[in-house]
Amino acid sequence: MKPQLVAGNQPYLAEEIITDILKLLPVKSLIRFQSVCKPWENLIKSALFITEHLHYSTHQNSCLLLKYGNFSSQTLHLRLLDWEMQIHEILHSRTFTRLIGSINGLLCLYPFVLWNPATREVRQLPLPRKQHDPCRSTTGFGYSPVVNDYKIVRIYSNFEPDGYTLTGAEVYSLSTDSWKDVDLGVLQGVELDLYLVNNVSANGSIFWRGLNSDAIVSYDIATEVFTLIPISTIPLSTILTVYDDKLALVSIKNKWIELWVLQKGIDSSSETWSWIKKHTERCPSDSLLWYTIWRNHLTFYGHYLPIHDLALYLFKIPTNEMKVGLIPEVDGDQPHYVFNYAESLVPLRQHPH
Amino acid sequence: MSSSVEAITVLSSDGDEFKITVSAAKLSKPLNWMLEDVCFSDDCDEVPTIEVNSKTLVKVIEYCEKHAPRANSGASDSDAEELKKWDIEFMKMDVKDILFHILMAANYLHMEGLYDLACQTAADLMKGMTVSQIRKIFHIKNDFSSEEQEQLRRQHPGCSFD
Repeated sequence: MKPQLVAGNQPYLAEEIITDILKLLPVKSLIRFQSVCKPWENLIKSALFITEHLHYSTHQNSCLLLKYGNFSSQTLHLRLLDWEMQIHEILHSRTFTRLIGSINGLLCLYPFVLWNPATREVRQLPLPRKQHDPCRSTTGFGYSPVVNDYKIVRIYSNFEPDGYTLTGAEVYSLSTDSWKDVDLGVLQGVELDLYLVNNVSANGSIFWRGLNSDAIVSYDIATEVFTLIPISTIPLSTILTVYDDKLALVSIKNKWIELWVLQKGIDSSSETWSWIKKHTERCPSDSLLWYTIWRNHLTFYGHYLPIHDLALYLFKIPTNEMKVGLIPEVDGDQPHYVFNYAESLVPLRQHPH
Repeated sequence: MSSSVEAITVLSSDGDEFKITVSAAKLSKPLNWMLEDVCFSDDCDEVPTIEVNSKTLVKVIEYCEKHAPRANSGASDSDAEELKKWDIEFMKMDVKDILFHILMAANYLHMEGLYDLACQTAADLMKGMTVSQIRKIFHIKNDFSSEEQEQLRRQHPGCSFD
């Protein structure tokens, strides 16, 4: 960038300082400011700036993405909740019926579309080659910084007398814009019900929790290898979430909530997995509708016993300091499910390099 | 370093003298080095110059003196809360006039806290501005042709560019 950015009575601000200011701005402002001058346009479109902006947005500015309606509903209704407890309408669609995942400001919708709500960019994806009954497949969406690519994974299963058995998998890669079959490896033939389970992406992998199973399925986006991770000591009533860019489990047991974080260690012969208990909190309620981790807070939506109101209860990790938020009601609707979301400039065109 | 030294004198780029306490100077690595130089030097009469103008240096020293006790002892939550409120008031100065100077001074003096605060203040001011307002405060010339501008708009349908 040329040093003509600031002249006159104002001092010349170094490119480094301008970058540090711009990366704090919302995407809406940055899109507008591309037309300030060519050096600003080039800066805002550069891969390094997009990454730095995403880092700030994820750590300091993330929102909750609330899904309205239930699993059987034929519409997809999404709203954003910001830290000031303001609601922003982002999608009410009859075309799309499911939100598969949300990472780096990109949403993967079903049937297959990638969407960046902040830049309003949409990318229509080719259809998977196996047009399986959707009940017999489960899908996940994630990103790997190692290969700088976004992938969608579909795992197929067949119903057999004893239950569902995993039979195959297909992967879409944004960088090649195509689907291909991938080997299930250790998962081939494993009996596991993955129907409508949630998936999260963290640390370059996508994770699913099997129904009534004591294992988590992981898919490494860079190496394209499936793994089964045991969770023997953690109770079954858990959800998958992300803490510190690692897979985390929030589990409820005997009125206590525990946060477990997956540590991946690699010894000389094989990968080893261990679960570290990061936080414990008295369960605020018997009737929680959903819970997640948001801005370093264990976040619950439901009725809190001493107060009894339906609200969002946030407990800071590790101090347990509590904050209560009310999700503004729109048309009497209550959010049914939650995803994490941080707005970004991540483009959906082919990666520039 | 002699423990009897509690404050040092520095010169601004305009040649004015300023006093800064030793504990406050510790918020900035370059200031701290200067301070060590002054204290260890045989020729103690030499007054170091800081390449920051007087108007800006007053604010920088005010920030250092306020933050030094907390930075050196570790803050409790209530202290941190109070300091946050003070920071907001501190940044309510005639920001457009002096903010860029504060940014450059904080960058040059390696003062992370003040730098982050000034960046956030600038971002908060800028986020609602129009493109022409941004060009005005940064004194930037529009170097796009009208075709190029039209092309940018087409890339982001539905987004406001005014």
